[in-house]
Amino acid sequence: MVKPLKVGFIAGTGPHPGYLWHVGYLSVARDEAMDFLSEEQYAHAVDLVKALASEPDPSHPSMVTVEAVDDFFELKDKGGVLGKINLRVYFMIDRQAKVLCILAAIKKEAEGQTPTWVKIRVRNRLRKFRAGEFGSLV
Amino acid sequence: MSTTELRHSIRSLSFQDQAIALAVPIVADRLMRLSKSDQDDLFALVKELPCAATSEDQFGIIETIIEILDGRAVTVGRADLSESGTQPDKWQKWVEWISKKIREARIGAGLTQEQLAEKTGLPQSHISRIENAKHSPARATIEKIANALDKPVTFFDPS
Repeated sequence: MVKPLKVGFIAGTGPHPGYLWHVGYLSVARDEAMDFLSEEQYAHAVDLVKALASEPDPSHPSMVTVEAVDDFFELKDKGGVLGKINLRVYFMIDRQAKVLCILAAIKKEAEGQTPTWVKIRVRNRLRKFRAGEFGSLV
Repeated sequence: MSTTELRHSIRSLSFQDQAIALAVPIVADRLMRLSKSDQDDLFALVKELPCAATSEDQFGIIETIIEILDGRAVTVGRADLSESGTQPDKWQKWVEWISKKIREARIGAGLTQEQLAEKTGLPQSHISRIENAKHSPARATIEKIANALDKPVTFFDPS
């Protein structure tokens, strides 16, 4: 059985105005995104996450491309300010707490299936996040 | 083997072998302290290493191994979704360029934002934010707009 998440928000505080979901992120995911993205590419990635947070169902969004991988999700994007970078952002959805949490970000040289090592990395972080090892969003 | 004998054996090794001899017990100690799930993930990653198709994959596997072994401090933060702050110049130039392209193509096709929203399945508010250079659209959005306006994707995104 999946353990309940320790990500609840203070009662009465809804998502940011204009958005349907709270957004959390792991410091390690932010650091890895900043490592390979330029300033403008990072700003674009933030826009992708903002679009995701305004979707009624972030697992089936209309504004960005998302695919389910195991028990988390992969947001894919390319082109524009990203240039030749195939950006992949991994996140989990807690529908009860209305929370999206960014778990990892990588760049891929080629399109295709999610590599096994990425699945292991994200799964490992997700497990620790769910166990509250990284703290909580409260 | 006594401590003196061990010390003597280590001294007789090359610097590289001494480093390995020192690293092995440290890594073994860390391994034993990991949870069963972390150990499983680690062994799965080690198995993946010889199958790495690219140097990028190889680097990713090694980084993940270090992350699990190292147990580095990770925190969870709440993202600020407000519109405050200045955006980078290149981002600004890109969103201004694409906003103009989309607005011109939509008007050229004789569509209102509402009609384009209906044709694309995108929220009208999203189209409005893009046309007002407030948002950098994802590839998925550009493709939907290009299809609805009967233009190639490269018309909106020459990259």
